[in-house]
Amino acid sequence: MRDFMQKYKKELDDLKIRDSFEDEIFNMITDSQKKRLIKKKFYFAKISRVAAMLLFFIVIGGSGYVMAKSWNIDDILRERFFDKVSADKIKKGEYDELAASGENGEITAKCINTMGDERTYIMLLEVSIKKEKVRDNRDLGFGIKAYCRGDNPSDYKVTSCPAEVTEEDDETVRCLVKYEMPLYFANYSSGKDEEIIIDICNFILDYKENPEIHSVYELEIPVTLSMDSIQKAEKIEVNQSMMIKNRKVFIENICLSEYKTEIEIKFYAKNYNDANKFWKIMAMDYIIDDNLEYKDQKVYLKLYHNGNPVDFADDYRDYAAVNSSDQNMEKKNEENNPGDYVNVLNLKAVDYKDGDTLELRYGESCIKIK
Amino acid sequence: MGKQEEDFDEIKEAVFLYSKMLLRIAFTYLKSMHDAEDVVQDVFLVYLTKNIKFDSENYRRNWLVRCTVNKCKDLLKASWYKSWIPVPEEIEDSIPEESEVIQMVLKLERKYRIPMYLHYCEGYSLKEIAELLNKKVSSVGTLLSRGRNKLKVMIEEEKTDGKGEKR
Repeated sequence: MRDFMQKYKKELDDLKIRDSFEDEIFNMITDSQKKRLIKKKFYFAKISRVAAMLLFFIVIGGSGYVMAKSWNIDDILRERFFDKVSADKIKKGEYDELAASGENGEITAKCINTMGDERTYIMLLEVSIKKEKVRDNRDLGFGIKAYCRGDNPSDYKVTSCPAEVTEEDDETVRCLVKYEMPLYFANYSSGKDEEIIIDICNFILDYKENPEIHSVYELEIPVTLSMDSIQKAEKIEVNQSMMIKNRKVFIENICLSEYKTEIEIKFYAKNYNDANKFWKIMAMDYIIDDNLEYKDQKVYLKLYHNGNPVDFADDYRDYAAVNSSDQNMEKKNEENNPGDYVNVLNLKAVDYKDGDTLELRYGESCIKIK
Repeated sequence: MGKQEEDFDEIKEAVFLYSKMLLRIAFTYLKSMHDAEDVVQDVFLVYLTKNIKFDSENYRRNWLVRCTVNKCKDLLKASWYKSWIPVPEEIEDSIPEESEVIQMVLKLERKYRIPMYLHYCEGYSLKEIAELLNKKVSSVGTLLSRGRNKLKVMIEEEKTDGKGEKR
């Protein structure tokens, strides 16, 4: 097998890896102007891939701020909207009144207004769902994906929005959704306007059983961050606990590095099955979008850095603890014996500085997927 | 020599030592050489802009590998990538049919390809792979074993097909 894989490596070298690639990187590095490098990388390296998208942006951007104010919601499902957030307005705490709506037969959405501050972009949506479109006796809800195409186009935020039902008749359910999009990656401080891209997609939720949003438990973790420990990716011992689902959960360690944040969570369980069941409900909110067949009620855990949420780093498929027990969960004791169970959450790295605050929140959404 | 020049030399050295390896890892992950090149450039840009100091060469190498894997994951899960560039189901057209080994390895699922590549091509131990991919050692062992078996089956099938064609 080793020979076979070495052959793979050689074939790859022979066929695909250009010698000029190294030169390209050398050239890139020897250019001492880092800004130019990043610009070059951003505008040229990806141009073939996103040419069509950039062109679209140019058209949107060309029509300016006025166009951004009047969203055209033609097809609410899998539709993409653009809004250009004015840095000036954000600084003044002003908001825009928007009244755009559209429907595709299943959902009608009306954006009532948007507002924001330096950290958050808030959108208030009034949504009507036609009951006749409901599949399998389940009602429709929707999720919002929004991301900011700033310097880093891969940054995005996925959030499910539990809808608060405001009105209901035989045909329609109306609900109000407040969507808060964290903009920690946006660059308001430079006075630069940011373009926000918002995807709205549908998923199924049972709003009847849990119409209210459950309370969110918060646990402040008093961690003093040092750049030294971050660069060395040292583990910081945290001795904090909170009650989740009647279990005392310990946040044992936080490991910060340049590219990743890891939190080790430990709790006490009677046996392996109990531990497994518990971890299964410890899911991130965005799993709800793609995992409709999952039967347990979702709860989620989030880390906030200086008040801003930190995204999970891994693809949810790699976050195996949610769906299976053998990948991330460490069973410290023998099966059926009491013991501590440890799970590791991987989060995206952010720009930590000395004295920053970290806060872990545990929340339970109203969404229940049957 | 100024500090900045020293930093650049350090990164240049890393490019010389590791760029091809990272490119192979990214390609094994993404099945696309263009995307792999983008990812590797990104990794070195992070290295350049963050100006990270490593205690050892081994730590630097592992950081680069882990950063590459994470960048690949980021790319695949980015919604703009999913919506504008569908994840290729088929192996890149530019790989000639005679590159049978590449074709075969890339037919394996991603979760098997990466541990197998790191173990058999780059000589990483199970423990190191577990740390790099943030998995348990036993899980890595299982992935390697399953990947090996799947690849063996593919090789056998290939041989059988070859014989069949000759007849």
